Amino acid sequence: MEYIFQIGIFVAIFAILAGSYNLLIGYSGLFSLAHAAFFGLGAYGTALLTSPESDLVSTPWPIWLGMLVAVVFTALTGLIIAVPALRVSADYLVVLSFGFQMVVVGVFLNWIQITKGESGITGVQRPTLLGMELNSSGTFLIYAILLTLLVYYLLWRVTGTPYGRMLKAIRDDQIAAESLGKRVVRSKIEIFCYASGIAGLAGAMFAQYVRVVSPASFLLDVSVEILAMLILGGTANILGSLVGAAVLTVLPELLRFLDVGSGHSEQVRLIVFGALLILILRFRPEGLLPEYWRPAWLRRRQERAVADDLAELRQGPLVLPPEVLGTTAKTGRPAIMMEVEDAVRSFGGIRALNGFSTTLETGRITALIGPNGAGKTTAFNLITGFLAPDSGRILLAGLDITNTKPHLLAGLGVARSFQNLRLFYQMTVLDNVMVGIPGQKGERLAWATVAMGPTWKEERQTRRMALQILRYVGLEERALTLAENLSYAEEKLLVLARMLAMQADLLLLDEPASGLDPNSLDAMYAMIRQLAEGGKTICIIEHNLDVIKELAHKIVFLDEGRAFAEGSTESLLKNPELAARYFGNA
Amino acid sequence: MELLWQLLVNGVILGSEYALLGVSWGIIFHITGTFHFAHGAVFSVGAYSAIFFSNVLGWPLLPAAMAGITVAVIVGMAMERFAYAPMRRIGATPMTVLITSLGMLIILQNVFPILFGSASRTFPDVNIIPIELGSAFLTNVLLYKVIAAWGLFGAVMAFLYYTRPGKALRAVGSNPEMAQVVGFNIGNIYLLAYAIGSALAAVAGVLQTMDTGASPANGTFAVIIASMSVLLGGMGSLTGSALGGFFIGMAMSLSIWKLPSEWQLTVGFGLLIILITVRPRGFLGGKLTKTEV
Repeated sequence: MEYIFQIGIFVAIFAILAGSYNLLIGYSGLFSLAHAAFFGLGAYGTALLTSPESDLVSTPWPIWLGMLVAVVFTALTGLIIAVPALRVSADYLVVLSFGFQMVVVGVFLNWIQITKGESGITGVQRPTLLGMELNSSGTFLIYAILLTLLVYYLLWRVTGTPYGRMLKAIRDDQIAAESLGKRVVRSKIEIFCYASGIAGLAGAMFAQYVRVVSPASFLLDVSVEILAMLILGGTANILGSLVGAAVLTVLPELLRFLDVGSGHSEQVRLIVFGALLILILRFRPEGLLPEYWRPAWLRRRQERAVADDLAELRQGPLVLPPEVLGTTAKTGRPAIMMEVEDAVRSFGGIRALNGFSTTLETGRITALIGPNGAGKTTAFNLITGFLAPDSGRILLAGLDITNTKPHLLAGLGVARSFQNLRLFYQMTVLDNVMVGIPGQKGERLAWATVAMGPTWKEERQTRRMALQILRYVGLEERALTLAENLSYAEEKLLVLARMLAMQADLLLLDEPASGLDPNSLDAMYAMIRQLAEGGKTICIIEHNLDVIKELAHKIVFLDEGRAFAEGSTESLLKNPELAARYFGNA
Repeated sequence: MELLWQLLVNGVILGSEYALLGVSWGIIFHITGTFHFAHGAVFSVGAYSAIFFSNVLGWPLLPAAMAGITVAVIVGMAMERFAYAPMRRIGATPMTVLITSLGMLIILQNVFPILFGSASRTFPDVNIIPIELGSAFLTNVLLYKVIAAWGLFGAVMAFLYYTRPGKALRAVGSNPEMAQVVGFNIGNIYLLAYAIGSALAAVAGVLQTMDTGASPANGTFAVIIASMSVLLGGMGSLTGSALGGFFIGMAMSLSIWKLPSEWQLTVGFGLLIILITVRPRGFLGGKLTKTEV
């Protein structure tokens, strides 16, 4: 019995490790090789603060306090690699976490005065739980299960809330997430530290159970084992991590009974784990429980909630939610939404924009046209903050926004689309729109964790608003489909829906009509016109003259990096010089 | 002062060794973009195959070393051909490729102790000759390390800049889509990158075996050092990878002046963190731009 309890405790420890690792690898697309190191930091921290045999503190700290400090310390240690790496790219995190893993084990081994080197720290105390001594494996198992439940509750609060949706959006497309106003770098650093802290908690529990911590328990190999559990269970599925940890903890124990007696059991074990990683990725990359898998009753409940919302919405007229009209709808709209003054931007020796000036008038549709390489996309990137101008000014409703970051501009009411769409393809249509809605309190980690009731209440409103937008563009029947399964025309509609969700005043659309069939084209025209009539300022990049004739009030003709001609659509299309330059029919 | 001179000499040797590792991993990373963890296993394959030819089959050192390097090249190319290339074809994410690579590293690194034991292994007939350099001491093997590192680095650079296949490699590295349009066979060029990188790693592995012996964990350490060197040197610059490796080796060696030798890696890593914070694109990396919008 003791033996079975012991396996249960190890399932709990690995379930916590795999679940927290999943936050990084599955939900955030961050690959770290240092999870075992953070596991170790939590274990050593707990041992050093609470063991009577520790040389760090003369009198051992109260156990709960020691554990808490160890976990917080572990989370903060995550900053050492997360900040320098994630400011730049996720590639850097791979290298730095790899090095960090080695350095941490090196510190455990070599800082002998404190860590006692290879032999490690002994005499770690177990806590008491409601007056119960946790002396046997059976009683410790109760404690382990309680901690695991606590951790899985926290994981669920992180992943099943707006916060988790935002993480996945950042994972799927960082640039698109930025354009929606998400704080990409900050969120990545935050989740890295959070996951590291949870690994530290698993370490604390491990230290208390085995009562001795030594470097050999926290090697790179352990990260590989945890990785195999999470890949087997399924990335970005928390329950999957639980299943994976259980399977890969229990299975090797069973195999132990048929020990081949080679004397290389540790190596054989790791070879099996390595092979398992490769085989799962080859033959079932989504793991046992795929990302959007959930128990049938939960799935049905979500489907019913969506269906109910839609049924109610269908009673009303086909309109956008009032919030979508934008912030200036209430405060009064300026006549001119955006001014670009003399913007210059070079790449290497090439001046992509060379003194570009224009104005975008409120409620009007302006078309940016010009030959390839004229600077249209550069102009878009400048207006939306993805590029900074070398010189010149950009004003939004009179406010100087030159050099403002994209995620801040999104908050100021600038929404853009991308030529290559940049949808969040591993998320549902509904989630793609919900993630675009600004000002969700549940996108803050602390709020999502603590304020359960308010988060759900907000989430119901968000979902309703998203469904109303989806109904407006005609995608409501596809709400629970993954974006990658949409047709091209549907993808284009979803791009528009996601932009509308941002409640922006200024919409910058990069070729909204390209690749659409005649039916979808008419629907798209109607919506864009209606949005302009409703007071939105719209700027489109377009090559197709028919689209321009249908939509644009005004044309800005870009050539060689400047506004070569500018005027109403009728007058500009009659201009013979323009016709010669652009259409080549001189 | 004598200690400092010795440490400088040691630093040049260690730096050269790490420069070779950096270049060996860098040529693969810069050109294919794959996070090739299993490179550490290729390093060990080179070392242990040479040991096999020398100690088990009784070949003389030079042919055994050559055979070992050949085996490593074959293994490296096989990883690209049978593991990475099929995954790219089915559109696997970079993370999937990276985990596969890690899986291969773990498998191979645990096969070696089963086949060759966990203890350090070396060749029976290495003739070590001490060399005096002022007040500093080194050996002929250490000198080979320095010569091999910079000789091979020069050869690779010459190959990349003055031969047709070398130019093809650079073209693919800087813009794969364009290179494909122009008619290069990407698959073959990637194979070439793995062949060169694996050969360089195996040279480093054999030289390390001659010097201090081969043990199973060396490969993992080698790939950590190699990737740190590339990061420090800057993405896309092979010269940067060599300089990055040299810098890390030199810094680790000089740290012994004031610190016990166990803290070498910590010092190297700490410096990397600081330098990356101050200069995120590394020594010679191109301007870091956001992914094209």
